[in-house]
Amino acid sequence: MRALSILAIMAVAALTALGTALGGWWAVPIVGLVAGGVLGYRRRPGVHAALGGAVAWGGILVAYVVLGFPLPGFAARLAGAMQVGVGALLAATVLVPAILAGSAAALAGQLRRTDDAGA
Amino acid sequence: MTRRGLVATSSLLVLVATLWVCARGVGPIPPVGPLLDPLNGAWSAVRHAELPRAASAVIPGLGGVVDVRYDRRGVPHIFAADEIDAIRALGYVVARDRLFQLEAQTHAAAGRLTEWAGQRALELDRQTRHLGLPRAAERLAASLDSSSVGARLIRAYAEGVNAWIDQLKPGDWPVEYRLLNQRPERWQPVNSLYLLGRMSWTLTYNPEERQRLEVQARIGRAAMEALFPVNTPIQEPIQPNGSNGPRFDFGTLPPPGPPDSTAALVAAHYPWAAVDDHPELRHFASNNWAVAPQRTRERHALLAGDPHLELTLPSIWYEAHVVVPGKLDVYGVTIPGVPGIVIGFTRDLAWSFTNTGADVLDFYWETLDDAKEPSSYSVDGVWRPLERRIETYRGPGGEALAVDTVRYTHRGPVERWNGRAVSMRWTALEQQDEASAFLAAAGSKTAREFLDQMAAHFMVPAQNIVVADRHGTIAIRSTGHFPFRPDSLGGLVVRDGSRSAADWTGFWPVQQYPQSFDPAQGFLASANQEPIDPRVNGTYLGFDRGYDPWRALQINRLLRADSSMTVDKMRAFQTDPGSVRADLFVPPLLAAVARHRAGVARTASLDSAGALLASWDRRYTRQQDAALLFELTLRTMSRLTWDELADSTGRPVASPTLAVLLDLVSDSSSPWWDVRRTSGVVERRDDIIVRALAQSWDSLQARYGPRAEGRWQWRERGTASINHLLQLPGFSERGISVQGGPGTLNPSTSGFGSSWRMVVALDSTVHAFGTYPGGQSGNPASSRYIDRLPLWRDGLLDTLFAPATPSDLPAISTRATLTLHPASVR
Repeated sequence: MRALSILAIMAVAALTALGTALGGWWAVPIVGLVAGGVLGYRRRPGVHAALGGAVAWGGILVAYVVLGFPLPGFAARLAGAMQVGVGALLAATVLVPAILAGSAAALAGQLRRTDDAGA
Repeated sequence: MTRRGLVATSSLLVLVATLWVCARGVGPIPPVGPLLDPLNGAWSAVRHAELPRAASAVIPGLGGVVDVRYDRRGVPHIFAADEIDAIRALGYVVARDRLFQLEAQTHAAAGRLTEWAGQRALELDRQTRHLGLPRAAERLAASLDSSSVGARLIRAYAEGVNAWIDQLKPGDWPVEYRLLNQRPERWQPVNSLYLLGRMSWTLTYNPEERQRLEVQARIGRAAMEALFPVNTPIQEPIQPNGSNGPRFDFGTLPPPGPPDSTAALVAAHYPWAAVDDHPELRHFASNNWAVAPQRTRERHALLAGDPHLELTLPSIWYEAHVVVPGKLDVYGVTIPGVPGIVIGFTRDLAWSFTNTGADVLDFYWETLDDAKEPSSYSVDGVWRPLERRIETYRGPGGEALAVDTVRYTHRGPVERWNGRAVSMRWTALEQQDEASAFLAAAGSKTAREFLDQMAAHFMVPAQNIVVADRHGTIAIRSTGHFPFRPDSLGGLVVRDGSRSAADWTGFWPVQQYPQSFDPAQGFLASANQEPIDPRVNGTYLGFDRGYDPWRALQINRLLRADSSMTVDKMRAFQTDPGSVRADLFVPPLLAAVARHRAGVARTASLDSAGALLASWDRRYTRQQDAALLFELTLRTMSRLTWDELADSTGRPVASPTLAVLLDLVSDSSSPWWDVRRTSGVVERRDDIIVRALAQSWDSLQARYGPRAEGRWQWRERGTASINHLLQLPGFSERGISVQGGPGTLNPSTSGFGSSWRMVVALDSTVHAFGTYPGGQSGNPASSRYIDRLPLWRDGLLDTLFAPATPSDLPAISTRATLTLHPASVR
């Protein structure tokens, strides 16, 4: 069960990253809606999608670091430019896709359950 | 509502709210979705931080393949088959590194900042447009013969910039676009002309008329003219006058006269406020000089230049090298948006600029046919039509924020000064050909040819151009359009525009420009001082407060003292902390303290201040504490002395230069020393000096604590701040401690300073060295964003490498390559 959850989260993350690459940030709620529809039979599809969204964008930032791009220094500069803390900026980058994907998935999940119940 | 319904509703609400914030932003927060998107938003800047090892691109219009090699310092060396292709490539490489800067500067220069910043930028845009700068650029663009060199250059440059823009994906946009929620706009050829107009504004818009009238209203005309002379009382001009040192044209200043109510009435018509624009606080502090072979150790000419401008990130300058075999081989710095190398060197010569500071702007009272909606103006009794131009200011969404009408006479734009119509004639609004000047001059083989090419094309902003060539010639010429006025009133009065006889009668011929070729003294120097000794040529060129004598005195002193000049000495001079100003002021200050000690009213503060000043080596080094005391004392002295010039709030409407104050220091009992508010007491010179010293000491103690604690250091004040173009703190570098101060060769304080330092040795092979405060890349994520800053801070220079062919740049020194193809060949 736990492995399935992790698998679901990773699948959502992969789709979110791919969608972001292809369509920008708008892909995140769309992936969330799809994930909610698919995972609607499970409990808390929104949580899985939220984690998937966070892992996707957070993972891209981690990938930048692993690939040697100057992310740490730039994060400090960008946060300074926006006059927020580095932590807040990084947290926002992870939270935004989480909320987008999570709320979209929760909504879709509820709608699917309603449909299933109606059927 | 069921639990399921509640969850669905709350999820929907959260989703909609988040989508809103992501897509539209909230308040000052830009749309968060495209901003934080790690692949296409702000974070993607890290992917473009460094140049790819090898790249290629297509530029429509290119005549042949252009080979670009970036050296280890990130400088592009452009090898092209003809000049126009080279400029196309220059546009491309500049856009590749500085796209946002290109557009930001253009928005400012065209009066279009409201399109980014909305209402907040309206007044700034209005000022730009009401000065007539965008109109002048557009008229110039329209009037250019499309086959002329200038037109072809700005078109080619635009093609290069657009080739870069056209292949960008959103993830490639500079981070600033994300923060502003904007997207790059295609580059128009006229943008280069907007930019040149903007430079003219920065360097030549210096109206002085209001201050003089305000002063005259308070102290009468004779005293005003003595305190605000046309000519600088300390003469060491750009064109050597045969003196082996400065000449002090000092005399006794007339006492304050009775208030002049007529001047007060006229002054009240001026639209801008009279504020204390103390000349010592002005920031144009460029230096350049050249030394002839007979005064150098290696027996070849040397040249140094360091233009001082606003310090920004990215820097105003971009370093580049352009090679067209057999035609052009020029290395130096360009301003993003300008199709050419502005300051630099070739295989034959080197050159640099300082601002001439000439008065090239006059005002005219105009007679209009209608007070509210005028359509014509009267000249010699004949009504002439006014040209009307509707100015629309648009907001970020394209909506019209404001619309107004600017009217033009044959002289220039018309403004209302408290109801009275005034037009302005300004060389910045007239015909010019700067775009082709740089290319034409860069093909020169000798210093004289270079200066003649510049004189033929370069009209505004007037610059003191120093040149040295490999033949050993050194030369300097103040180049630009200097108007002849129709009378002897100079440029500091508002003339009667109803008479055509009030118009300019022409421009100085080149042979009358301040200039010198191979002078007997063996060196030439300019540092924004008065260009020509009025005893040599008394024709009005500008006024004292537009000039600055101190740095010129220091450069000339240094050059005169050394007949074995080297590159390294010239480099050190650029941040030399010595000050002739301090050398001239400190002795009379100390003498006043000594005389005062002989009296009775001593204080501990005065004793301490006197002792500190006496021990000072008069150099503005970072740890120096006496420099702090000296500067504050001068300001305090100036404030106490010129109290006659204060407005009702106690602030001076204008301050005479320190050269005038130095003149006054030789007169111990001048009535100017008396402080008016101390009725019943008549102060004399020594009273003011000792009061200023003691007050300054106390003030420093209050601010920094007792001197013994070691916090009195010049670096507390002598700091440079380099702000990002959007003033974003995280993208700026602030509080950089530098050596130098007011009156020294490196007054890099606040947001202004040395923007490019260069030293060139004109040997059989040219050797050049340079740096600037910033880096080649405009991307804050890049290692090339501020990589030159440490060298600049420490007064050091990089070796500038100018390969003659692509193969001259060894692979190990090649950071990246770029091949540009014509559209049909690739």
